[in-house]
Amino acid sequence: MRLNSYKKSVALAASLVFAAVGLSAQAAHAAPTTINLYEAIGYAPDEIKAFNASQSTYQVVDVGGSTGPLLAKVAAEGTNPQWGLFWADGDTWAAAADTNGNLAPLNFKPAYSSLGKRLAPKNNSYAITGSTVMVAGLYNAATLPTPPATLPAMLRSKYKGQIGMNDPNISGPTYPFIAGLMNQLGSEDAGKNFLLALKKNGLAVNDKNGPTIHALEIGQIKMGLVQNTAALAEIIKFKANPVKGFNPQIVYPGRPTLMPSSLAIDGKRSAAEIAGAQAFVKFVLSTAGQAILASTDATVNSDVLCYPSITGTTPNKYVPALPTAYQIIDPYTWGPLQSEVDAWFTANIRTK
Amino acid sequence: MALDGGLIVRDRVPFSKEPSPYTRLIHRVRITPMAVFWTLITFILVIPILLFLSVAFSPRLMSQGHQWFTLSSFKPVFSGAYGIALLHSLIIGIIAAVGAMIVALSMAWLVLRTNSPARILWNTTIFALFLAPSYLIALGWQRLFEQRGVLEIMGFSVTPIRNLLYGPVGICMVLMVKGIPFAYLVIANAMRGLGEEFEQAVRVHGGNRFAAFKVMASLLMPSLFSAMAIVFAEAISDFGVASTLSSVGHFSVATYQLYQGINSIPVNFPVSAATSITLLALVILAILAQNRALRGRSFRTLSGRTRPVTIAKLSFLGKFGSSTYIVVLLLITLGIPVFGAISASMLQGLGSLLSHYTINFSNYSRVLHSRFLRNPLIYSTEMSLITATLAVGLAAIASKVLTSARNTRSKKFVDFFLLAAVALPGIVFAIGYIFTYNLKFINDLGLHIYGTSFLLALAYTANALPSTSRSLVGNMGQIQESMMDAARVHGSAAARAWVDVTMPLIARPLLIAWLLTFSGTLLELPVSELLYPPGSPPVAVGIELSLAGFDYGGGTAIEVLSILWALVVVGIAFFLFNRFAPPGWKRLGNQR
Repeated sequence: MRLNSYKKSVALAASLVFAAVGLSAQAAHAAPTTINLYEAIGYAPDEIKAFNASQSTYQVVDVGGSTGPLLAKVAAEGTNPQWGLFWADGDTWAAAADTNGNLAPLNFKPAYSSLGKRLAPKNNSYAITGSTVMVAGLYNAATLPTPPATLPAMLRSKYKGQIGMNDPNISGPTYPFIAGLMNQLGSEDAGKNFLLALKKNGLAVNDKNGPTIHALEIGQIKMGLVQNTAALAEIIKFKANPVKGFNPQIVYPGRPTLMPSSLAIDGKRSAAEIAGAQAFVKFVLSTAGQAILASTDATVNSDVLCYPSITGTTPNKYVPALPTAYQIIDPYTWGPLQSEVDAWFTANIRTK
Repeated sequence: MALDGGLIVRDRVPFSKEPSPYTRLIHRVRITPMAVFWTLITFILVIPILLFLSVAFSPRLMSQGHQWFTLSSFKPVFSGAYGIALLHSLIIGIIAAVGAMIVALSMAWLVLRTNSPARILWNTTIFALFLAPSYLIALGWQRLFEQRGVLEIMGFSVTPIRNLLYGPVGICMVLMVKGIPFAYLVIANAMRGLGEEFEQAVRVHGGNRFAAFKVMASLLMPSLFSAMAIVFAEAISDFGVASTLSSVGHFSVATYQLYQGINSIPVNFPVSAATSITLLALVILAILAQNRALRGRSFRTLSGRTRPVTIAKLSFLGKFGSSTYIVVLLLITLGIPVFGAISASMLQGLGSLLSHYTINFSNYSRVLHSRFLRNPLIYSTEMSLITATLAVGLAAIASKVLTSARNTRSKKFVDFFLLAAVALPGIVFAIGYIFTYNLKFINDLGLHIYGTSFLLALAYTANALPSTSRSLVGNMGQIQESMMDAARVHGSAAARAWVDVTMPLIARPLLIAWLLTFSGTLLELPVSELLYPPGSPPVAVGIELSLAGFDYGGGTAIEVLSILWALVVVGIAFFLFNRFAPPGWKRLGNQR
């Protein structure tokens, strides 16, 4: 009796162990590989939702935020990164990560359009998902009928105190604008001299797009140098609810810079996670992934107002034609200069 | 029976074996509340802060550079421009702290010690004031005074005021206004524990009302300094207000350098850490000032015999004057952020009442279905409930340490790290957490707490602990320890004595500290943004993401709805306390 009871107990324990092992094995088999996507792109959650619904092998998890804090998070994680994918505006961060050997290159050739090909890195180390223009001159046509259309024109006395821009230390997309300025004027020093001259002509510096555009709304300035998606969002808003005395329009002084949005894969993840990340990138650049750009409401999600980088993608209905003249800067050249240029901006332009 | 050494031993008592050194060690280690407290303080405050600061000297320690030891991170800090920025931060901190303390003290006296008719308005709105984010306060001021703003449209010439607002005066004022609700809660808590006997003694000896007020203010010193210390630390760690209000003519503050390091590509943590060390030097100055003012004095006025206070009956003129003061202060502290919120979330048009505007709730009805509202708000509420409970428990112990009669090392240690946690901007604090809890060897030990709700709750608790502790310091400093001693002499265990003796005296301040923490955590952004578990964004991150997508109306609407939700929770908590708490718990602050 006692032995029987002992045997029963052993049998019960054994079956429980086998059941647990079996269940965990089943669970392990069924559990999808999880990949964290650090993103600062407004339509990324829609892409994640569509990707996760399209297959069951991988599960992309959203970690949304602003570009600056997300890059700080990645830097703080140091040699023990927790991100599998990173997606944000700009490509200097991606180029820096590539230079440090932190990225897993794409294992496929995206069907880039001619614009996409010009923006994409030659070594295919990260994907270009679209691009925006840095900067657009958003001006109030009701009070400034003839805005400056060239860089030298912005220095004319008739525009004194009428132009505003963002601070590159706070507004991420503003550094590509400054780097582009330096690129088209021929050197870093020429760009700095131009900004000093602009400051002498009464340049107003606000933190980022929102405050610069508000300064335009209230008449503090007559033209704000902002990201084109912010400018387009403002125009959409005022077309829906027109306001007398305020007629926002866009001009591109000089040759504005096309700023790509980059999607990169952490090269230090496991093979399974990298495979999942590759699948996600492929999905974002696929017809289904690109369709989200056109179908998303741009009035509450301005990131879809980008220029697509993939052949055959229909842009959002609010996206205008590309500027007639634009430039693309090399992130591997201009990226490493950012800290020095930003510090110079603080000391010479932002400070009184 | 046996003879043993000449003694008759009736029953041989078996000797237990000599305990091994290991067993002795086990027996010596007792899990006491203080042991738990010090362990938690070490892991949630001390280590994250120290690891972040260490990067200034040793970037390689946290994989932030190649050097094991360098002082090059301090190069920007020793520039003349940074010295001026640091001086600006110090001055702003002092003005905001002293200003907030004076206004809060006067308001506490009017509300708790007089029959001013408008005092009920203040009491019912105090938590709304506390919840008003500095973003809405600054926005409200801007909308009023900006070019073609509301006041200009109404025909007022506000150019001189505007010039003042967009600069150091405006920054000090907004930070002071932001600090008033906290200072009021701290001072009012302490004033409730101050019986009338001291003021009566002054009056009996021929002192006038002012002399009595001075004595009362002296007895409130610990709470006054507590309030000032937190407002000072909050002000020197500010970046958003200073940056917003100095956009026209840049007014530099120390945190600008710190954020420059964090926002650069590649991120430059060593420079940010060096900047943080200078901010902590300012904190040490604040602690030294506090210790000098409070040294060698006793403020233990709260006992079982504390007398209910008599309300001062104001004359008609007094009632009119005090009510005007309260209403004007409410208009400034609450009216302006409410205006900011309306202007940003309900105004269709330019958002500045320029012309052709309509006011409606379309943003509110739209965001009710937003993915940034429902689940994030539920998650933030759960985290805030946990944080508030944990933080109040720890704060009760921390405030006891802080009010210890002796100026011990442990007191100085806790004081410094609590203020340091406030003086360091939230983003720095969160980075310290990533440094600490994402270390590979910690993961190898099987501890994977980075990216979990558990770590977020710990970080929230550490973030809230300074203000929660300081809100209790005034009351804890008033409690006469002889009451606890008496309870222990009569056989009560320590925990039981605390519940029976101390708890009734500080029940209301504990409730207020709990609500303070709950409200402060619900909309906390920097720590949330860096530490939230993947896939579970708190509501503050949702608001940030809405604003980042240029949906200013939607983002502000979510913010306003979250504030209203927090006020509902505050209301429920007060209702439950008034309805169910034992009568003895509600006695403190009774009036005659």
